[in-house]
Amino acid sequence: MTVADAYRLLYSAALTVFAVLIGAMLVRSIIGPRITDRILSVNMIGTMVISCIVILSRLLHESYLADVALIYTMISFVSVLVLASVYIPDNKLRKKFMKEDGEGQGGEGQSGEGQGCESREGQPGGGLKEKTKGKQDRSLKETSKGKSGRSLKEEQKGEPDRSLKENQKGQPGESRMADRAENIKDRADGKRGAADVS
Amino acid sequence: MRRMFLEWLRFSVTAVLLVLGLIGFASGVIGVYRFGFVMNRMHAGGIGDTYGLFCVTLALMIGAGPGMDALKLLLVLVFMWFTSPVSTHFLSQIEYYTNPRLYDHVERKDPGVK
Repeated sequence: MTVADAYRLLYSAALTVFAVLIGAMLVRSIIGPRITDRILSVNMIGTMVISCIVILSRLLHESYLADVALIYTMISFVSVLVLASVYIPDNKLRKKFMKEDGEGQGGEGQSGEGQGCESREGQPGGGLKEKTKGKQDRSLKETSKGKSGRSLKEEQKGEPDRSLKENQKGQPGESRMADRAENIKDRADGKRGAADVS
Repeated sequence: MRRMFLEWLRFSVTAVLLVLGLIGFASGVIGVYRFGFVMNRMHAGGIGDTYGLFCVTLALMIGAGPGMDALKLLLVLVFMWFTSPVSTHFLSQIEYYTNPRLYDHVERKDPGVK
């Protein structure tokens, strides 16, 4: 067994392990409950694909594959930036968010069940009944003005499909609480909210 | 004979580093599966982005020997190290602005409460 054979065997084994890991991350990106989980999984798939390309460039003795890996790095970075520019609101609305968060009600301002391990398997909008009463409702009324001052119940009857994008363009006065309420409402309807589009 | 020994030494260093990188990537994947919230998952994903890619690229640089190939691999590594924290930052910003139940998972510093 020469050294070249040993290198070939090593690189092939590494590529096989990477294939298994990429498959695992692909499953994660399908079942990831939120958009951020999916972006994170796709980002990790990108990193592993970069490693695969770099290993292939040594396995096949093709030097230009390293350039391909460099371009792949840039593209996976740009894809995250583009998705961020879609989902992060513009500057004015962002300051409003920050202000509302600073003046919030306390640690448990947003009640309801967690979105962690246990509720991921269940229905996404499980504890919705709690949402419509108590602190949450009050904070909704206090922190939002005008059109978004409707309570959560009215919000649930309102026009069904406004996406996040329309929100931040149409009514700049829409508050974060209303956005959150709308997300919850979309989950209750069994639809995909603006934040859940894969 | 001596040259042969050095070749095998280089191969073994490459193999050890590649296996370490694979362990890093595998622990990142396991962490992404085991953590329940996306900001914890970012922590696990960062292991693969930094440590895993560092070990794999260093292994291949040692395997390639000095030259243009090694410099290209170094460029990939440096670029990834600069862009990975930025994309993690943007990802957490997306989470902050779109998650309606953020404070179930994240503690909020609250100056108003006594």
